[in-house]
Amino acid sequence: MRETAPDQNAEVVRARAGDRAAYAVLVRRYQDRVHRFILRMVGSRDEAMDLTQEAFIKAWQALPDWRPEAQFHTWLFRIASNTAMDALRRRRTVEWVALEEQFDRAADSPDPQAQLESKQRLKAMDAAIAKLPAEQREAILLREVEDLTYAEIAAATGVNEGTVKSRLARARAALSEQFKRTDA
Amino acid sequence: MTQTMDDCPRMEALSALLDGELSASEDAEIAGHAAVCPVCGAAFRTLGELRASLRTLGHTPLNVDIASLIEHRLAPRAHARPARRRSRLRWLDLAPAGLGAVGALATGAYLGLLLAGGPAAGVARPAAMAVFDAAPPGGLCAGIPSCYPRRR
Repeated sequence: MRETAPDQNAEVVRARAGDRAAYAVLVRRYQDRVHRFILRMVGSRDEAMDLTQEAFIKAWQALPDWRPEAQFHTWLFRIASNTAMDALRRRRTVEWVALEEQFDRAADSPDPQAQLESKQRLKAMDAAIAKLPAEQREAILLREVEDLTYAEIAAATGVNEGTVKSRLARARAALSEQFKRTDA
Repeated sequence: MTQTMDDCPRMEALSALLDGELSASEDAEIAGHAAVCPVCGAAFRTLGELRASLRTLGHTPLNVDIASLIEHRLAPRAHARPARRRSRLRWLDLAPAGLGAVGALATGAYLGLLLAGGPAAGVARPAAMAVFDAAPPGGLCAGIPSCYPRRR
């Protein structure tokens, strides 16, 4: 959901001035999005919970630097992205857990076979995303899950749009290969 | 015209086409090519299916209130003070420190000139400065006997 600038700006401006209640509103509005992004970046639910809190604390500290001409959600994802990337750099190896098994979704189809296939496909997709290089994973998650434009992804990741375009293409090429193997 | 691999756009162009991030002319060109090229058409369809799969990735909403968890860890924000106009009154705040600095410099310079025997030596000086003379008032040395010159 795209917010209108006046809606988001009023709360952000109040939060920037030190209004904790206004900041709590922002946190509650964005916590699910930030958490799911970080979760798929780092692959660990426990770590993602810690990093999500860390990202929002950093955002509070950095709020005085936010300018109204910047989209708040883009600015926030910049902080979330840096937080996740820092955590990944501190690791020696990527530890991935089967995220999809932790989801408790209503089945799309009552057919057990279809459910099983759907579950296997999601598991394969999660595994493929986890295997992407961090920069490609970041780009594909921001584009396909968070629905950011190239310009917004560029702002959130600190690279130019050409690099965003390239990373997305490479991520899609890699995921397409996995997609074909799963279907085969 | 027979399509060849040389006519095929790179994956980057098909990917940008999917995202609607091409210029109008590029969009028309790439989309037109994908419509007639079996290889690019298949690749573009795969990208679309991939997108549909990615957007069905599940996510369990957080059942915790992050705002409550971090509330006590948010440092108080110093209220921004309104910009102050330049005021002459500000200089009065610095007056005591300024006077002290001037006094210290003047005293130091005066003592320095006395030691050097400069022009200040001929200037009337406070009586209290006599304690620094080689022969203090009354010829008495207030200190240890070594103060007194030895008679040969």
